[in-house]
Amino acid sequence: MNIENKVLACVDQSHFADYVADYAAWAARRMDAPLEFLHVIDHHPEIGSGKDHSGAIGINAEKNLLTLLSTEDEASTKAAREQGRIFLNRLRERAIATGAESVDIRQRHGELEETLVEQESGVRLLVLGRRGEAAETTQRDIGRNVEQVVRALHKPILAVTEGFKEPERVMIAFDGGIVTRVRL
Amino acid sequence: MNSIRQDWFSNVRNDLLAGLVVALALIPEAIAFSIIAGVDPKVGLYASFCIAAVIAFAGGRPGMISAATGVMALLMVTLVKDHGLQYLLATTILTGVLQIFAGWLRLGTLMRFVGRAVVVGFVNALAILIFMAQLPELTGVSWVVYVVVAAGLGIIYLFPLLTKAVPSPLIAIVLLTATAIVLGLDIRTVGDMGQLPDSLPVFLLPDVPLNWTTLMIILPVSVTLAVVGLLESLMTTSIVDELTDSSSNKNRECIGQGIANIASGCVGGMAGCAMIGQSVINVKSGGRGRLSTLAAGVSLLLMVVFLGDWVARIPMAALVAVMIMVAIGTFNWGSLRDLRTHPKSFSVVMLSTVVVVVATHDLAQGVLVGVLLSGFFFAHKVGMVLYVRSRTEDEGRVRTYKVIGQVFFASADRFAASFDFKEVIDKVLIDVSRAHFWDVTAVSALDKVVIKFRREGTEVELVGLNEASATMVDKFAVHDKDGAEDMLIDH
Repeated sequence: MNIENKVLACVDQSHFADYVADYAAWAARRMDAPLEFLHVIDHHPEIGSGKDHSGAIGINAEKNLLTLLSTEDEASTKAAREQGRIFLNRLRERAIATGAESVDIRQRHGELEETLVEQESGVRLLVLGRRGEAAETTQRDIGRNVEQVVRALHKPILAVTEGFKEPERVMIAFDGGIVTRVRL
Repeated sequence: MNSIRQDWFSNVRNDLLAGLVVALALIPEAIAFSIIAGVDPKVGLYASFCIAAVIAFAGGRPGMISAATGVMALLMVTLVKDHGLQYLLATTILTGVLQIFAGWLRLGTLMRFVGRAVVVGFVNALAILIFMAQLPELTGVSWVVYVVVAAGLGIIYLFPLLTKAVPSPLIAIVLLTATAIVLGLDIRTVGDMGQLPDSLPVFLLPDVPLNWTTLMIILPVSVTLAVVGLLESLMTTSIVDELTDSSSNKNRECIGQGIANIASGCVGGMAGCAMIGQSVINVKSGGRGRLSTLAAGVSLLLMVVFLGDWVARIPMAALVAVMIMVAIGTFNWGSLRDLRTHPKSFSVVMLSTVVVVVATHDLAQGVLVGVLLSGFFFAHKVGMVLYVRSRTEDEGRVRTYKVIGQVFFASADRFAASFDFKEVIDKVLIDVSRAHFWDVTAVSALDKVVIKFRREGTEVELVGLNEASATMVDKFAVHDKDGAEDMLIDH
């Protein structure tokens, strides 16, 4: 398997995931490239969980708190990992059903943007939803993550919308500059 | 932009609540620390407000609480007694300047020389000092005071079993104040200890003559304050890092502490630093962002200014109970249990740090002693890694000495003693290609060995000296160049 030329599909647990899977499977089939689903689990140390407002520090308060916080983190990470694994496997089945051949899955901790920058070198095409989990409730046309990713990466990106329809025509944004001339 | 939003507004509700809890816990501490330093409670309260509010913006560790602290208060006692409040304010400003300078020089990285043993000793000494500072309130007083303190401790530790929604130290203070007023108990109150703030702080430059004499008075205290403040702040930073599983900017924290102290000195507050106990309370209550620190400072000021009359009626005994809780919570109890299992050198360093601090009331001296002792122990240990083996060759005419290991000031004597100068032999071959000569002491020890052999009429040949002395890093400066590690491993 040529891992240097994979199609990387970034999914989160929004309803876009299925369409991303469809488009990514289509692209992988057309480009004859391996497909990999990437799910990034966010870690939010900046958000606290405060139930204890007792303001009292007992014996070995620091150590006990550290144990408590790390146990909580461990539990939530494990739950997220398991949930993500099941979710990714479902998408893999879906992609295989539509005819993609080599499909792999991967979960990473961290931020989407930095994870993608790390993985960039081995990617030929990046597929992601135009909006994600965070934008489900807002009225944004393009999700915040999508914008950051497009700015940070230097690889072709396919941002997909709702509903899968096999692309038939290509429109190229052309402003006559050197870069676009080279691309043509 | 993203990080500003993340630092400030990603945890608003929890940050505000935690800040409020911290403010309630800070009030008694700020008052108690002012009393330790020998100044009016308003000095500590203004300082706590100002430092917390400024560090929220300038600090390098979101979610860490800084305010007037016991460590710093203990260092000011003599200055306040001899020269008065205005000199303390000037000292506070100078402390801030020194801390900014330290942050600018990136001295925060020096923290790596402060080992675990010294840190544990520092924390334990701090707890003991806080406890000892309460003793004047507990000696030569009526039995009522003891009852109040005991009741306070009981409420503080038992109330959380009932509910954790309200800070138990606050409950203790409210209940004990109410009881004291209702029963008309004749015990000392906060109001007896000095003036409380009745207005918002105003900007004021300290009223001291700007001359050489003043500088000589305030500089020594400022240096100690700056060092101790940064030590405790950086230690607290790593504790909060560990608790929240996130990273912080240590040099920005140094500079932030400096800015906060300058600001504190300019509004009539004393010097402060990060607080281990309060930061633990903050994280425990869900505070993670800069908003929690700001909320703590601002709500502290509002409460004190508007509830000043009531604050003045808090019995000192209730404060003593809170401070005993702080001392117990700060002490590293696990370190007592570990005394039996940890290496002796660790325990000696930890205990000497504690003893020196408690004896001198100066955490800087304790840390210095601890760091020096750990250095000695380390040098001693590494000095043990030295073996000299020998055998004869060429039918008893030549003896080859093979030196393996580290030769430096701590092992140079042992090195010199490993040779048999009395032996009657034609030639001696000293193979040092697998030894490291770290300093001048080592090289001169080798010189002495060679000369001694020559005096006995023995011919001496050295093998591999160039490789061995390549580690004299000061002279050849190979330690930071590429391939230095190969040189160390190869021979």
